[in-house]
Formats: sequence, structure tokens, C-alpha cells
Amino acid sequence: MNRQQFHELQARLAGQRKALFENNTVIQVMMDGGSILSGAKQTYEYFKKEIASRGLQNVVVKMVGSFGAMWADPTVFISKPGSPRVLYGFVDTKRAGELLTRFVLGDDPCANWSLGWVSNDPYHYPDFAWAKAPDEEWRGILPIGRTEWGKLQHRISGRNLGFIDPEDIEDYIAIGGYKSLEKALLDMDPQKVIDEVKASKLRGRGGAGFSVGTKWQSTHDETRMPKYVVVNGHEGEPNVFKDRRLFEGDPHSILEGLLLGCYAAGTGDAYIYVGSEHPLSFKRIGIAVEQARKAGFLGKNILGSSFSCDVKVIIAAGCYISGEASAMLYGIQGLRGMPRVKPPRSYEAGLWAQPTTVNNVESFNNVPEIILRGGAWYAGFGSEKSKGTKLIMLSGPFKRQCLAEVPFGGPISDSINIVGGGSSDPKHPIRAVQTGSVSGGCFPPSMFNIPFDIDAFGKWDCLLGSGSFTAYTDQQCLVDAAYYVLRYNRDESCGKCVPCRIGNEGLTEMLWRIKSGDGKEEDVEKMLQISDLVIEHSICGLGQAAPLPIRNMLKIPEFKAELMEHIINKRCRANVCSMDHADNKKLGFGTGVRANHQYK
Amino acid sequence: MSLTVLNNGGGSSSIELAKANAILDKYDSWDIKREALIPVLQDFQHEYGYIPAPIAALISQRLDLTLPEIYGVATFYTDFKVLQKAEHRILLCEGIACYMCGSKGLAKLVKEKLGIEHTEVTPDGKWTVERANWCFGACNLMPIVEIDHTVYGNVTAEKLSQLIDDINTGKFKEHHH
Repeated sequence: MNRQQFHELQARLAGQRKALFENNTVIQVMMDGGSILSGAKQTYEYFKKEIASRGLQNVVVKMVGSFGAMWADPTVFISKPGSPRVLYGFVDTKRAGELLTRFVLGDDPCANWSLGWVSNDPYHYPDFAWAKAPDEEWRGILPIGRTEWGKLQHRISGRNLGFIDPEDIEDYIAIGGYKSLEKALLDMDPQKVIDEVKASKLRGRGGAGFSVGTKWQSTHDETRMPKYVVVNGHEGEPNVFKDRRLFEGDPHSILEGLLLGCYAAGTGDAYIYVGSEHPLSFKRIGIAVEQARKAGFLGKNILGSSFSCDVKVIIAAGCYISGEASAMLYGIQGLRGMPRVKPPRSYEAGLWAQPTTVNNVESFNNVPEIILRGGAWYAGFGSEKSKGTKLIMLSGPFKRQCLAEVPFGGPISDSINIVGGGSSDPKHPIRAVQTGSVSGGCFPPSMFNIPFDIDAFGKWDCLLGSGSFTAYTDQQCLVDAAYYVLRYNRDESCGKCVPCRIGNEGLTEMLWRIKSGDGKEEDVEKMLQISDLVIEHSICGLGQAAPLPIRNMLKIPEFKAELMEHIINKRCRANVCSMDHADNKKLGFGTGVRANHQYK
Repeated sequence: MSLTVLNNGGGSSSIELAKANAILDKYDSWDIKREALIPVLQDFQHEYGYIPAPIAALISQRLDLTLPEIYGVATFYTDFKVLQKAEHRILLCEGIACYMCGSKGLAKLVKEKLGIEHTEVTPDGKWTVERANWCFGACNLMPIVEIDHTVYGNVTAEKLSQLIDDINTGKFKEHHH
């Protein structure tokens, strides 16, 4: 395919997509790993069956990726000719039937079930900020940019989520996909691509926040061949699901970002490493790669340029620690996925000791739009040091558990109280929010004005990490939360660094003792000492982040008071910790230490 | 090897050599044998539910790797099991939200009902319980439990107890979720 043909294809597909919405009632069911568990598949099949059996003309059922409104799963969009695309929540088969009779066949838009209306074109929203579009209320249904959930959202990375069919490359091309690949391959040299990424000041979205442009430059400057570019899609943390939603909802833009990365590095060897926990992710990225290969976006002389590239999708084999960049590279090579000492960095010695660029899924996903609109455009959003926007995941007793995207710079209370809507039960208000999943501590409500920024959390021993927020109310105990994080990290530690392997075990045991009512006052000092030791002497992010909840708890007076209550008064105010002087090898602590395997 | 059926060290199932070789044949074209180890193990894990000892020996022969190398990888990654597991597996989601909002109670129920803890197997070889140290990505359904690859959302202790009973008595039918 050359440039001319690509333009023709794009014009044709864009016309097709426009005609589809103009002439048909389109029902789009959001099908992703989470909503399928809530019954989206049944809803999808119900619509298909009903439309076929009733012989309805001009009604099309399609699937799209997750829009992020997880609390209302299963969710669907319905768009009739001449009316906007309305988002409905809690659409089980019963409600689907009602919607079919009342809205699709009748004229009642069922405003009370709706969560807002959304354009069918992501580019309808200036800069992808929903609130910036001058939309009007339609028959009692607010535009998404004026709803509580949507007014702060600024979807750059998740721009196509909920707009396109992830298993159909034509949908992606129709809304302007692979345009930035065309621009880069035919109008820009690799250095220019890197300069744009540098100008965007995009920082890695996997947790460490290292500058993407600098990484790309370093790999570009290495002269040894072969070089590799790897997408790290091994997302193993609990309550983190942004990468898989991108894989499931918009795989082609990840692929496009990866191709841009390959072009910048000057190589044609790329890998996508996907966690085995997300079967739908590797299914959909696999389909995307196949379709791209067929359409000519992968292979030899892409779009008539001299650039050739091919991608391998590798399925991981579980294990949280093998999502760490250096560990992941060992995983691809068929070794145990254990992190190693850095330097050498991966651009010096990565896959098979060759220069390698490793970036997170979300980082790659941002790049096509940066190339298309320029780095300066992207750098116009966010705070001084953290530019752009970030996908956030809200879980726990929030009113709205969801995937959302907000710009950096605002206070975290925006995410918690406006996007998340505060606590699900007003009788139990949120009293702490855990940030960064299993790497970091919590913030109390008095500190919710802290800016949402990659660097701002460190002082309090919290990490922004991958952008997960978990709420705790008075039903949850913070000592229990710290115990959970420590136990998790103890279980997942690869055991290479002795302080991490033994220190985390010790810390977990001490917290278990405190939870069982056997805590001693000197434990506090001991825990701090061990924590510092583990942080100082571990080589990877897991060890360096594991003891943070303990340090965080002792730094923040509200949390310290709660810990001391456990130790001195033997009382858990959330009534979660048992305080029953349990033997630490009993419930919640055993890891199968007692061998019960019988060899014959 | 001239045997067509390998004795699985007293295990309950026997292993067809031809089938195992057919799986390995797919990777003959790979330049670096070591790179094929994880995909090979994934295939066998999928086929047998664990990595039987004779298979490890076969992999060692075909990929030219030592047994410690193979077991090093097989025991490191959580997806691989090197021992035959129970008939039914209960997987409790222990993401933070699930743990904080209920899966602790479920672990307690399993312990009381089946008398097993994390990774243990009941004496009759029927049940095992594991902890999912990752996320199902459906935190609106917390707590989540997976039994034999079927996922259940918003599970309460009563519901889990009922499920176990149903499976035990064979009354089990496909539930929604």
C-alpha cells in the first residue's frame, strides 16, 4: 500500500462509518474482560437474537472496548439516526429488552437509565477533553462532558476506548488510525520523531516515570545491531487494569505507537509482552497484529517507505515480578524472570544483551497522537514536571469504580470525590485512599489536596505508580491494608536480594503479630529499621517499594494513632483484625510451608 | 525412546509420547531453543494441567536443556504447576479491593468447610484453594472467586458454601457470571 492508496482506503472507510451511523440504529455493547464477567456477552447475544427474530431492519449490533464506566457494567451505547449516542448502564437482558421496545422501536430515550450522551467520533472533543465540547442537553440526557463523572476527564491515551470495535482494523482506520505512522514514515526522519516525543515531555507510565524521549534517543544512538523495541504489557498488580483495557479496547494504537518506536530506534524487531492473566488482551492484540500484517502496516516496506518491521506477541507465564523491565526481558528469553542490577540500562544491554527500548503500554499508546499534533501540544497539559494525562483506576468502596483519565496537576480529591464520586455509602465516608496499588501507602482526607503528580507523592512514601486508587472506609483497617501489601510483596519477591526476601517476611510476621493483638511497642522502631534496610539494599522497584506502607503509616499522624491503638490498646477500630493471639502460621499466613505433596 | 506410552511415575493418567512429541515438533524451527521453553511449558500446562515428570525429561532431551533449568523456570512462574493438582480449584481473588472487602471471609470459610489453607489439597484430592495475587479487572464485582475457570462475582460466604456443596454433590450447573 502506498500513500495514495492509504488515503483512498481511509476516505472510503470513514465514509462507510459515517453512513453506518446516519442510516442505522447502532447498538454498541462494551465487551471487555471486566464487563463480560458482569454479563455483557449475554446482553450482546440477546440484542443479536432479538433483532434477528423480530426481523428489524437498519438496526446494527456492534461491540466496542470498555468506555471505563465499570460500576454500571454491562454498559451499551445506542445511537439512532439523527440522535446522539446515548450511554446506558446496568443493561442486563431484562433492561436490554425494555430499551429495545422503548427506545429503539419507540421514542422514549429512557433518560433515567442513561449516564450521558457521547459523540461517536473521539475527535469531536477538542484535545479529547470531554468538557471542552460545546454540547447541549438532549431530551433530559446530559452530554458526557457535563456529567460528574465526565467533566474532568481528558482522554488522550484512552481516546478510542468505547468508540471503535477493537477486533476490526477498518474501524480504527476510519477514525484516523495509522495517520501518524504515515506522517512519521513518509515526512519525518527518526530523529524528528524522537524530538517530538522529547518535546512532549512524556514520562513512562509504568510507574518509574522515566522520560520516554530520552530512552528512545539512547536506543537510537546505540550503533550495535540488532536492536529491539518491547511493549511491556505484563500488568500483574492487583487493582490495576489500564493496560488490559487498552489492549482490549484499542490494540491498534498500541501497535502504531510501537511501530513509531521501532522507526525511531531504527529497527524492525519488536515484541509485545502480554500477561497471561488477561486472555482477552492477548487475543485482541493477536488479532490486531494479524490484521495489520494483512493490511500492510507490518511487514516489508510499510506504506511504500524503506521501513520494514514485524512484531511478535509473547504471552507471559504469570508472576508479578516478571513485569519489571529487566525481568521481563529474561522472561522473553526463556529464563526465570528476575530483575538484575542496573546499569547497564536496557538501552545498553537488553534483550540478548542488545540495545532495547522498553516502554509501558500506555506510554506507547500516547505517541501516535503526539506525533500527529506535535510534542508541544501534549506538553501543554498537566503540571510542570508531569506532562499530559494519566489513566486512573478507582476500586474499593467508591461510588463509581471506573477507569478514567485526568490531566496531571489537579488535587487528588478531584479524582476521588468528583470522578469517583466519593464513598458508595454516605454513612461510611472514605477515610483513606491507597495509591499505586501494592507500591506505596495511603493518604487521609486531610491530604487530598496533594497534587496529582508523579513526583509529589514520594515525600509521604506513597507512589503514583500505575495510577490506581483504592478507597478505605471505616469498614477497612489500615494496619490490615499495610499487612496485605507486605504479604503480597513477600509472596511475589523473587528472592534474589536477601533483604527483600527475609525483610519482607519479617515485616509481614510483625504486622501479623500486631493484628493478632501481640504487638509490642518496640516493634515500631524495629519495623522502621528493617524497612530502611530493605529499601536501601534491594535492586528493583518491588523491594524498594514494599515497606513503604509502614513508613507511610508512621509518618501520617492519623494512621500512626491507629497502629498504636492496635499495639497498646489491642483494639482494631474497624473490627477487622482478630486480636485473638493467633499463631502466625495459621490462617492468612501459611504459604504452603507444610509440604503435603505425596510422591509415590 | 521406543515407548509409546510413558509411565507417569504412578500418576493417575498416562502420557502419550506421540502427542507430546507433536507439541514439541511445533518449536523445531525456533533458532534459539531456550526461547521456546516457556511456550512449550505453557502448551504442556494447558494439555495436562501440570508438568509431569516424564514430560520434563522429554523437554530436556528435545530442547537440550538440563532438568534444573527446566524446573527452575517451571517453579518460578505461577502459571506452571509441577505436581498434579486437585480435581477442583478455588481461586480467591486477593487484589487489594477484594481482600479488604470480603475475600478474607471467604478464605476463612474454605478453611472451615474444607479444612485446607492456601495451596493445600484436601485428603480426598478433590479440592485445592489458591490465592490470585493479581486482578480480574472487574473490581465492581468484588469479591471475585474463580472455580474451575468459571468466574463468580459479588460472592458471599453463603454463596461460596452453596457452590462447593453443589459441585460436591454433582448438582452443579453453569451459573451466570
